Parts: sequence; C-alpha cells; structure tokens
Amino acid sequence: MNWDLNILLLLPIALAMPVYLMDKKKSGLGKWLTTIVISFTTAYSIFLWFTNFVGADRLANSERGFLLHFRVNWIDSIGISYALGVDGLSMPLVVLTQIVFLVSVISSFYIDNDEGVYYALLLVLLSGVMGTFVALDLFLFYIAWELVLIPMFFMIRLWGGPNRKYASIKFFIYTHLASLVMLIGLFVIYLNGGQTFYLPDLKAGLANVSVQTLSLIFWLVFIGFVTKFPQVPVHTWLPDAHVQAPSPGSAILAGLLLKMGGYGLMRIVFWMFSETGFFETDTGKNVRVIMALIGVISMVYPALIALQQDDLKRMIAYSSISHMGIVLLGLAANNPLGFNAAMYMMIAHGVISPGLFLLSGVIEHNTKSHTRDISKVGGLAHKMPFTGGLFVFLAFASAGLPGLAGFVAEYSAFIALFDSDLFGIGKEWVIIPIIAVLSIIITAAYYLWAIERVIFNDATDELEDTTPAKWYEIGPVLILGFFTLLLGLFPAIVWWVLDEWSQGLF
Amino acid sequence: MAETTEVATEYFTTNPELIIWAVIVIAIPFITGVILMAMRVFEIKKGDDYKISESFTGLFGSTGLALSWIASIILAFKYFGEYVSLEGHGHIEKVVGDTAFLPMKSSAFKWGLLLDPLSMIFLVALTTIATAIHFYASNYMHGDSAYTRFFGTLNFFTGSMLLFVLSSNMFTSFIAWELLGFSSYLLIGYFWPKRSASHAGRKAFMYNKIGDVSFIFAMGFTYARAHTFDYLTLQYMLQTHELTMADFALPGLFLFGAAVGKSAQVPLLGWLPEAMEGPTPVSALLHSSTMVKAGLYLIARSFFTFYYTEGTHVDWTASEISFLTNGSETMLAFMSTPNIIAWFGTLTALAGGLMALTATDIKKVLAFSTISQLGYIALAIGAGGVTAGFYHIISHATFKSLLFLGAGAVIHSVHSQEMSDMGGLRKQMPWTFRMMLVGTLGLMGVPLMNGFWSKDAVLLAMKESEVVVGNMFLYWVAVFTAGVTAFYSTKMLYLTFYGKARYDDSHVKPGPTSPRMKGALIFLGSLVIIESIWFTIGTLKNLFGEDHSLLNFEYALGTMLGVHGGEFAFVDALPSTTAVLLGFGFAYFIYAKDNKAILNSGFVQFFANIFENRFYLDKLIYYISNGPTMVIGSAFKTFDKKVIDELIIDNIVTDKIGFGSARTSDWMDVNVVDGTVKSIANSVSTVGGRLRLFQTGLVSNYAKYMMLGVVVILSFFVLENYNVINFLN
Repeated sequence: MNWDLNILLLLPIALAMPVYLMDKKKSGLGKWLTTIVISFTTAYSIFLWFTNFVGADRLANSERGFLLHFRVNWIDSIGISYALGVDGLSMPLVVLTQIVFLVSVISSFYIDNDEGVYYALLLVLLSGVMGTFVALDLFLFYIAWELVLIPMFFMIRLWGGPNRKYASIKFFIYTHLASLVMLIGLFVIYLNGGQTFYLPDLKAGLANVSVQTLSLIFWLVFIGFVTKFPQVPVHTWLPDAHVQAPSPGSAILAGLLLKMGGYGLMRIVFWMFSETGFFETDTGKNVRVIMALIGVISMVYPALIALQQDDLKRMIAYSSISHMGIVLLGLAANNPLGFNAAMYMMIAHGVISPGLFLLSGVIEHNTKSHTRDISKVGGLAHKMPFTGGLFVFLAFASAGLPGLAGFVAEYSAFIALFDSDLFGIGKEWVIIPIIAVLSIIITAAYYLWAIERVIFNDATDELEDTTPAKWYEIGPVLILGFFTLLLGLFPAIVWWVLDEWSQGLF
Repeated sequence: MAETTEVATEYFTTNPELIIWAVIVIAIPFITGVILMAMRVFEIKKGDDYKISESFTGLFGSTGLALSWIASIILAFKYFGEYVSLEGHGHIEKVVGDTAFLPMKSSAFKWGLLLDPLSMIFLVALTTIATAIHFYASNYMHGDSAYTRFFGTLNFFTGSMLLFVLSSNMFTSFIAWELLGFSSYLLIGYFWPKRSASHAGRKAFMYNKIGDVSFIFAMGFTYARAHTFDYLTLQYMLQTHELTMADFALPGLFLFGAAVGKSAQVPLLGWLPEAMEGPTPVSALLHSSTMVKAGLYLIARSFFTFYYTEGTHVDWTASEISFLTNGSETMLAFMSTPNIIAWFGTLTALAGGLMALTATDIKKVLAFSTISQLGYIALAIGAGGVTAGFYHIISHATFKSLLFLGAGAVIHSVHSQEMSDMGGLRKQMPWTFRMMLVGTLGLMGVPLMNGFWSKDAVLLAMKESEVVVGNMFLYWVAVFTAGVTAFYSTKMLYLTFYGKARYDDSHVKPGPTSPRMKGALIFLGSLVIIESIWFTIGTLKNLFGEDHSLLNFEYALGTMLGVHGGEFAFVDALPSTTAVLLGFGFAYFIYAKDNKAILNSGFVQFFANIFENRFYLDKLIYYISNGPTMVIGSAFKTFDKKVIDELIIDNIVTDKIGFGSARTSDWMDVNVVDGTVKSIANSVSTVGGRLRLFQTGLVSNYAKYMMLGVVVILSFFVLENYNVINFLN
C-alpha cells in the first residue's frame, strides 16, 4: 500500500471547500493557499518521478506493471475497488498535470470576481484530472472523467467571454453525450472482461474475447475519447470553449483535458487490447486505417481553417486539434516508435499550447480595446518585447522547430508511419503519412502569418498605452518555455520511460 | 557490443579526442550566440536606450567565431595528419562519434558527428569565411539599435551550419537544417519593423519548409528500408548488397527536393533575392558558405544514393525511379535521379544568370548570380562530378562572400542599393574596387582564376557524363550561361565603379572603407588569389609532367572521396572562355561605350520583362499555393460553422432531441448559474446549504442526460436479449 498518489489525488479536492470559505470575505487568502498547495503537489509529483522513474530496476516493486500502487475494496459485490497506480504512460502526464495547473493558477491572479469559487473549482478540477490519470479502476476512472466536466463548465460559464453561455453548454453537451457512449463501452468491457472494474484484471480478461466484441468496445470508447480529444468532425466545441474560456481555463483545457482523451484511448484501448492482438487482425487493420484517416483529416482540415482565423486564440485552438491528429496517427502506426511519438506529442503539446493560450490572454488584457484580433494588434514587439519573443518561441515550438519539444513528437510520428506495416512506402495507404507531412507547411504558414502581423511591423493604435507584461503574466509562460526547451533538447529524460512502456505492449 | 564494434571498424573509426574538438568547434558559436541573446534580454530589461558597448558585443561575437575557426584548423590538421594519406590510391579513414538522442531499443535517432575529407574541407572554408564576415559586420552594423541581437543570431546561424556540415546522420542533419531555416528567418527579418523585411523572412521560411517536407520524405523512406540514418552505414549497406540502388531512388530524389528548397533551385528560387532584406553581412554569409550551400552539401554528402561505384571502377550505376517509366528505356534514363538533378541544375544556372541581367539592385544581381552558380554546382553533381561540384562550392564560397562584402561597403558608402545611384566609385574606394575586381574575375571565370578552374571542371563533368540524357545540350546551355555571367558581372562592376558618379553629391560622401571592413575584404580577396594560384599550379603540374599531383585540388578530392576527379585539358576550356570573352565584350560595348540604346528595342524589352518578373515563377507559385489554400480554407471554415455547428449541433443534437440550446440555455441560466451566483451573493451561511444548492442544479442537469444514457443502455440490452444485435458472447 502506497499513499503517495492519494495525497496528489485527494489533497486538492479536500482543500476546495476551505479555500472557498476563506475567500468568502474577499481575504485573498484562497489564492495564495491554492498556489501553495499546487506548488507543493507539483514538487511532490516531480519528487515521485525522480524516486520511482529514474534509475535501474525500478519495476522490481511494481504491482502488475504499476508503481505507487494502492488498492482497497470499495463496492465488493460488483467488483469495484479504489485502485490507484502509475506506469510509464500515466506518470509523465501526472507531472504535466501539476505543472500546467501551477502555471494556470499563477496566471489566474488577474481574476478579481468570486475568487473563492474560482480557486475552489480549480482544485476540484485538479483532482478530477489527476483521478483520470491515476485511476486503476474503471469505475473510478469514469467518476474522475465526469468530475472534470463540472468545474470546467463553470469556469467557462462564470469567467468566460461574451458568448460564454453558448460555449459552455456546447462544451457540456458534446463531452457529456460522448461520455455516455463511452460509458456503454465501459459496461461492455466490464461484462466481457470478467465482471471486474480493476484494470489489470480486465486486461487479462479481455485476452480471449472475440474480435467482434473488441471491435464494438473499440468504437464505443473511441467515440467517447475522440470527442474529448477532439477530432474532426466532433471538434467544434473546442474553438468555442477556448475562445470563451478565461486564458488559464484555456491552458488547462488544451494542456490537459485534451490529453485525457488521448490517455483514455491508450489506456482503455491500446494497453488493454495489447494481449488480444486485435490490431493485427483484418478488422483491427481496418480500424487503424480509419483512425489514421480521422487523424490526417484532423491535421489538415483545422490547419486550413486556422489560416482563416482572425482571432488569435481561435487560431491556436484549431492548431490544437491539428496537433492532436498526430497523436491518432502515431497510434495508428501501431509500432513502439509511433506510440512513443503519440505520448510525446501529448506531453509536448501539453507544455506548448498552454503557453500560447496564456500569451494570447496577455495580449488581450493589454490592448486598448481588449482584443486579440490579428488584424488589429500589430507590432507587439515594440511594446512588449518579451511577450513577443516568447510568442515567436512557442509558435515555432508548435510548428515543430528542432531543439524544442514539438519537433521530437512530430518527427518521430512521421517516421513511425513510414515504417509501419500499413502506411509505409509501397503500401496501400502511404498517402496518409504523405498528406500528414505536407500539412506541416500549413502549420508553419499560419504561425508565421500570425507572427508577422501581430509581433512584427509597426505598432498599431491598439498598443498605444501598452506596457511590458507583469510578472504573473510572463512568469508562467517562462516556466512552460523552459520545459519546452528541456523536453526538446533532452527528450531522453522522458523518452526512455515511454519507450519502456510501449515496448511492453509488443 | 563487441560484435557491433567489429562490424563498425570496417567502415569507420572512433576517436573521442577529435570528436571533442569537433564539438568545441560547433559549440563555441552556439554558446556565444546564446550569451549574446541573454545580453540582449538584459538590454531590453534595462530600458529603451540602454545598450551594452558595441565594441564589446561585436568583439565577443567575432571572437567566438575566431576561436571556432582556430579550433577547426587544429581539428583539420589533426584529422588529415592522422587519418588521411594520399599515396597511391589513397588511404582514408572516417571518424564518427554519436550518442542517442531518443533512447530506444535500436535507436536511429542520434546526435552524430562525422569527420571525413568532405566535411573537414568545407568546415575550414566555412569557419574562415564566417570569421571574416563577423569582423566585417562588427564595423558594418555600427550604430544599429539591436547590435547585440544581430551578433547573437549570426553566431547561432553559423553554429547551425557547422553542426550541419559535421553531422554523421540525416537526423542530426535535419535538426541543423531546420535551425538554419529558423535563424535565417530571424536574420532576413532582422529589420522586422519594416514590412518588406518581415515579409521576406516569412517567404524564405515557407519556401524552405517545402524543402524540409521533402527531407522528411527522404528520411521516412530511408528509415523504412534501412532503419538507420547514418550516411556511412547506408553506404556500407549498399556495398554489402543489403540495400540496392533501387531502394535509394525515392530517397535520393527527395533529398534533391530538399536541396531545391534550401539551395534555391528552379522552381523554388523566389526567396533568395527577397532575402536581401537582411543586413549585407547576412547575405554574404547566407550566399557563400552557409544556408544555400547546405542543400548542395547534402547532395554531395548523400552522393552514394544516386551514384554507385564498386571499387575503383568508374561505371556509374544511377538510381532510377522505375515505377514511373513503364519499362521504357528512354524514360528510364530520363527518370534517373542524377538526370533530374542535372536538368534542374542547368535550368537554374540559366534562369539565375538571365534574371541577373535585368536586376538593378547590386545585391540582387549578386543574389541571382548565386542562384546561377548554385545551378552549376547542382548540374555538376547530377552529372556525376561530385568533385567538380565541391570544387565549385569552395571557390564560389570565397569569391561570392568577397563580392557581397564589397557590395556592402559600397552600399554603406552611398546609402543605396541601386546601381543607378552609384558610379565612378573606384577613386573614392580604391581597395573595395580592387577586391571587387578580384571577386568579379573569379565569378566570371577569367582564365587562371579559381572560378575558371572550378567552372571548367563542372562543364567537363557534364560533357563527359554518360548518365545524363542530352548532356551535350546541357553542356552548351551551361557554356552560354558562362557568357551571361560575364555580361552581368562586367555590367555590375562598370556601373558601380566606372563612369560618372550618379549619387547625390550633397548628401553622399563616399569615402574609404572602415578598417575592419577593409581588412575582411583584403583577407577574402587574398583567399581568392591564393586559391587561384593553388588551383593553377595544381592543374598545370598535372598537365605538364607530374601525374596526379596532390596539389591538384580536384584530383586530391577525388582520391579522398573515392571517386574519379576530372582530367582537365586546356582545349576543354575553349568554349567557355570564348563565351566569357563574348559576354564581357557585349557588356563593355553596351555600358562602357554607351550603346544602351540597343537595350530599348522591343525584342530585348520583351525578354527583359520576363526576366524582371522572374519567369513569373513566384506569381505561379503564389497562385497555385495561396489561391486554393485560401479557397478551401474558407470553404472549410464555412462548413465548420454552418454545417457542423449550426445545422447538426445546434439543430439536430440540441433541438430535435429535446435539449434546445436556447431553452437549455435559459434553463441553465435560471437554475444553475443564477442560482450559484445568488447563493454566493446572499452568502448562505451553512456549508450544507451551499453544497445542496450546488448539487441541486447539477443533479437535475445530469438527470436529463443520465436519462438519455439509461435509455440507450436499456435499449442495448433489450436488443441484445432479442438477438437483434449480438455483441456479447
């Protein structure tokens, strides 16, 4: 029994109510308490990383492949337990979660209405996201998954932009309906996997299930995850939610909520199916081709739309969809390199896109009419040199500049596709990686276009009274920029954990 | 482990000491670059007017390069002393050092450095020229508001090229390649408040991105076949017949595609003249030994992918794209990768030369001239003359950097880039004039200059090529281009330094060039002269008496690369020399004898118009890329909004199923949001009360959706029970 993960999971939600009560009198204490708590959990998660995922024979103490394992029975009669654990797939995401929340809470300091509610919701959200990543019980997983929805809904609803009602409802309906479909899938897994909710048992239980059932499970949960992800054509909630959400909310949405979909797909499908050989069968191959098609369409289609956007944040939102397409492509390749690439893309995108969203928020807060329209803001580097510089830095990171995190993932995903049994050279579907690679031209195009108009040229009237950004605006982005550089120059620090995990599936 | 070492020693050797020297060579400019950028951040932090002393930052940046230069020379001496002996057939060992970038079971993704004659020679040429340019720039950029940023970026840029030159695998090459693209973006757009500069930077990056994509294709196809990116391993696998030339048909072609973008070949040449928006030292560096040479260096490095030699045989086997040819013999020959490279190279050479004819901006003349000379190099490599191509890479790097620095000195002096604002400057700027003259002679290929020897090696390679279809035609096109080169070179020199002064006397006072700029000019000028003497003696020794003198650059290179260097005879130089004389004569007749009226004829104007518009290539690319992208993009945007959102989501999902967005919205407003806000506003005092309020809203909200879920699940089990669908076993 290991209590480490319980601290990470339960501490935030336990403090949500005290934080709310403290700020009832507008004391401003809640803000600092939240910051301290999240700083602590961040440091603690990094400490757990170093103590458990660095060094030799670290898997000797693992419980069926999971470290920091914790399990107690919960509802015995139907096989529900409270089980937590992390492995090479979830641990990087756990650390990522903490870091993204830390920067989000710091960049939330500008918020001055209903602070107590805001920070309480943030803490609940943190527990929800953590729960999704560390739950080893399908039931617990679903609870955490749904728990995320509520605070996010209110964050958009109460602190969002002018069209926040529409956006929040849309976000809620989309993801909730998808979750319901996923729930059916989870039931099917439960019924076929030996009437238990414990993930390692389910994995063993599914080993002898027919291809037909596996295919059904796949499609049911795929719809759930891909909506969260989100991929074309179930993506339209994302731009609206992003545009309307406050920028820390956008950071969490892009940095973590999208990753929940990717994580779910890997954990519930690829990890759980790894002993069935499903993706080697004809049905499985068809499934992979469809996945790759969705992935490649989701790379090209939003990229072309991003070129048309005038709202900076909306452009970045579409670019997020485009980048998540690479995750799906990496998974469709169905080889270790592709899996590594998919996981690395989630981590890389998890540090880059929150930074871009925060920066677009900084631009919005500092322009005269609080706009972030590309056509109105111009010559930002004259007035806010650091903000401009960081924007260039992160935009290039997102466009896949070597030495920064995005490149590693993007590049290895492409190579994995060319090396895969379905999409390689001389194979029937080689057109998919070719189109995927070509789409990076469009990615470069919209980022450069935005940089040229927003950062360069002469300063426009919108920036007349603008002063350089404040510490809590630029500090969080610097943290993310640091990780972008670190993960880009030394991917090995995370990569070998990912590789060990994905080699285990083959 | 022991096994791999055994295999490895067959085609390369390891030497940590040399690799450390190589790392030092690369790291110094990167480190100084980053430090300078940090200084720039400090400057900005301090406020608008604060500036760290120029003499300090300029010297810091230049010294960084100078140290790297010294280290590279030490490295080259050590390497050539220890591993290269040219006696007999020559004995060459190659040194490789690499370390995993992405740790995997069998990782092809490595940081790797390769020391071989090709990289060593290019390395020394690069650091030498770059150092001269840095010292020049420390004077040239005087008074610029972001002096520190300039040197930071320039160092970073040079460092990227050093990494590219020394890389031992495609993966490392690609990283350096992209970093080059990025830093050139920053340098071309250096004057970013200027609209044209920021636009030029973007254009350069976009054109390069097309090349990058091609590079990724090449790597993807290579990896799928060989699971490695190492140049030497790939070559070795070819020799052991693990791979065949057919495997390399597509990778080879895509590698050339990468070079088309980076080295501004037809049709992607539009970015290079635009790149003149950057400061002149940047152009000098970009056009001589970095950036544009990267593409061709890549082709030379991966020469084995499209030409294969066994032992000392000269029988070339060219890789062919067989599946495109339907088995037709002519098509097969035509679709061979080297043939494609040769044709594109020749076209580029001609197009670049013709466009240079009509350019009026002195830097643009040089830019088009670069395009033309890059075409020469490509055609040589395509024709199988990797030594000839590399020969020309080196001599072009020297005289072109000299010409750009000279042009920079002139521009600095008259404050204009237009040749119509110059004239008669040889009196005021004697040293600049002399050095420009040396450079121009090299560019024209006047006999006994370095450009003469390398260009004739290029032409000879084409003439003797057995692989290239229609090689004699291409040969004569290249000879014609030599005449064109002589014409525009003469024109440029005359309009700048001879004739009447056309600049505005009242404002512009041309004077002698400042010391460090002059020093760099004289240094590079002497390099051109030294090269000319060296190449002349080497070739003459070869022709009269001593067989295969190692002073003969091309022969020595051939020995070191394990291929055949061309055998030069003076009679081979006859056509090109004639062409040069004719070109010079025409230019002299028109500009010096003032017969410009000829240029006004309709015939000439018709062609001049085409050349000025760059054969409409840019416009064509703009229309075929921008138009459809924008049209499709806006169609997608509309589709996203109107069809997916409004038609399906807003109507079908919400209204028809009974969760009307408007109604839901109102309901949500009244019950949940207002409820919550009110509850906060009224500060309901008990925790329980608050919890209840929170939950009531949510529960009733959830209930709606849950009901839907329950219905779905129930119907699922009902259908299952009645065997309508059979999912469960």
